Amino acid sequence: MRWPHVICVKPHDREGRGADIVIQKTIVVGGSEGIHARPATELVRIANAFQSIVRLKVDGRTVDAKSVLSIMTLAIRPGTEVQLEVDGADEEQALAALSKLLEV
Amino acid sequence: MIVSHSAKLGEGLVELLHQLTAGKIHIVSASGAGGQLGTNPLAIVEALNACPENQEIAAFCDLGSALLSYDMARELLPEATQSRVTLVDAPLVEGAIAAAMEASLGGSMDKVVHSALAARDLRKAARS
Repeated sequence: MRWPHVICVKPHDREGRGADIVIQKTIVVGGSEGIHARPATELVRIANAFQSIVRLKVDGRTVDAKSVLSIMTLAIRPGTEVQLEVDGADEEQALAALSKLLEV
Repeated sequence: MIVSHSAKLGEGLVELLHQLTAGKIHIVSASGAGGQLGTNPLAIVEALNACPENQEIAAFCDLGSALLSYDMARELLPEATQSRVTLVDAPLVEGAIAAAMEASLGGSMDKVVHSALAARDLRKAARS
């Protein structure tokens, strides 16, 4: 993997199926217009294209990236640092797609 | 469709909605009345008739009095058009934004309306 990321390992669940892995990546939002421009709907669209759970953490607040309403509450401007958290079968692809969208 | 007493507000909101949805959906404003603040049923009729055929329309109003114009306009529409329009009782800006985003993502009318209504409870300033 080419980008730096933190791997957070969740504890074993009760059925003992083993540890789950959530991947996180901190990115700095690029662009000149922030989240009110094209990326807002694109973000929701791309997040929904993946099976994985996708969360965005900004300024102490965590939202579901698949939800239009949640994304509307975010305060993101170019240069804002956000954490993408993805968990699921296609988490790597989801992370790559969303990083690409936000970092541009 | 946006119905506001202010033409500037209506146009500004349409501009914002277009940017959020990358021009994927039809959005129109029927706001202001003869260059002044107010609403005009005939402008609403025109706006609704100009919407793409066979597509559903979500309408948003700013104040209760805009609803009077909307109701009058609705009665002047052909029945086929009437059945395609739904007035959404949500806050104008946040409701329209939620609706437009859902619509551009291919959401059904139910989903569009549901999101717009949920926008009533949207909290932007709360910190977790």
